Amino acid sequence: MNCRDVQRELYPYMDGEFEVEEAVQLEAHVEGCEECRQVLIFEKNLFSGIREKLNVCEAPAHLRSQILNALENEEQASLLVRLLRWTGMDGQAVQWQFASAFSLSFAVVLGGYWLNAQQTGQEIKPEVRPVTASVSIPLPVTGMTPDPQNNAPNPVLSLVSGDLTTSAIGAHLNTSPQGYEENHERVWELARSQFLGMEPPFRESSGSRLLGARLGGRGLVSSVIYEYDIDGSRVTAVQSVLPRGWGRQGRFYNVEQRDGLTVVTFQQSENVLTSLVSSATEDTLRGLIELNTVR
Amino acid sequence: MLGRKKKEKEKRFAEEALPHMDTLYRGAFYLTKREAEADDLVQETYLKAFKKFDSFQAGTNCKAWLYRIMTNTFLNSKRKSKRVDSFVDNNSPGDYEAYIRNPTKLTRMDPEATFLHRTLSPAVKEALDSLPPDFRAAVILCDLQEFTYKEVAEILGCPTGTVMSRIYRGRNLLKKKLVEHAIESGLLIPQAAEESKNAPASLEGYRMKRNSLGGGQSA
Repeated sequence: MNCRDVQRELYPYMDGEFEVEEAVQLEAHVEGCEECRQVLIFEKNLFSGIREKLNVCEAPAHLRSQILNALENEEQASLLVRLLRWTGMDGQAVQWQFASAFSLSFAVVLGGYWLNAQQTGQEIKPEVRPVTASVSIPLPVTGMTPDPQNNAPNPVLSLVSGDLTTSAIGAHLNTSPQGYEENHERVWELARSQFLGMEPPFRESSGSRLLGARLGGRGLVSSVIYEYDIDGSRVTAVQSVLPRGWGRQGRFYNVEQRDGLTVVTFQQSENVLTSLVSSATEDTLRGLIELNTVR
Repeated sequence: MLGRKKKEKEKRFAEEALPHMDTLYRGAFYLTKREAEADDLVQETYLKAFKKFDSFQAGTNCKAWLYRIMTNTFLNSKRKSKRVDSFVDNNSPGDYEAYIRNPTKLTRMDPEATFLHRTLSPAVKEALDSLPPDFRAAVILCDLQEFTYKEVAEILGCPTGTVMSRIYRGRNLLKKKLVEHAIESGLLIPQAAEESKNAPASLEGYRMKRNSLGGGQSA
């Protein structure tokens, strides 16, 4: 190799395209040739410097959502976008919760709902007295009875229950729902008309007072979030209306404890799941449900 | 089941193609000349990629596949809009041509290429923008994305030999632009070359030096 060869072949060498043997030859020449050595140093510095200068650019924040929107506009891609929103690929921090293709469809549907409830989490109110089972709530709401012992497993609802729990806690930590502040009847009417006759979880009585309620949910899952004061304790109830047919098999009853809160999710009717959140024990919440649901 | 198959495709696309958005954007930013164009190019790339995703073979290099779509989209749009590229000074010797043609001269002026530290990123981008699209694409793929020559050849759909020559010529043009910019803005003073045995005619060298010093003071 002479100087001319070296200087012509410098780039493939720098780019790691040379075979070992070729590299050895070039290096042998460079070792003994001051001029070529300097050219090599210069070129290496120059292009590593250029790389550095050009690596500073970052994708703008709006690009990701812009692309997701564009994909959404593509008819065939509409499901993908909802899926991405769920997986957090649109920038929100959400983890994969479901793995199989079967469960993905539910993930898609619930994703928006879940995110909605997550948006404004606040700290737990420090002092909440436990709800007592002796609350008198005179009017039964539905004829369904929670039955943890004979809870026939419903694979569909088992999949979604964890997310309903999460969204219910989010709703509970978020202070009083905005919207319909005092008129229980009005919320009830609204919920009835909007959600095919869904009834509030509790009727108003001397022991329970509705603090607020709002309509929530996104996509295929609609929901109403109620906040009650029951004997001085705050209880949040989230009713979720599921697509028809989801809750057909068996009855669903699930209890979870997270961050000092108890969340009981039960099947209020075929397509309505209700989650109750409070700092009370499961027994207390269950008593509350029984009082409300036994005619 | 059709629905299931579709969902699997979407999931695969989300997992394999979308994480490359940042690196694609970086490529697009330097391929195109304006930020808005880069946005559009990346978006168009993803739309095309999603439609064609069935033809992507799992386990192969997804980033290279996306780059092929993006580079083709870009180069095709350039060819459509302007059949003959405006690049003309390929063979016309500029004022500092002698310095670029002879690497040794350049090296003597600034052995460690330190002038680049003082060159601002926008100037580097501008120099890159001045390259003809085909050369620019080769340099970006090789220097910024660190694809191998073979991968670049696949992305650009040309033989490896063509890639080598585009990288060689592209880099030399880029170097020329940067050196010109550095001399014009006083970052690089062609003094060392003048003093060397192979110095150009003294009058030309003198003018060059005077101009560069004047530029440096007024800047």
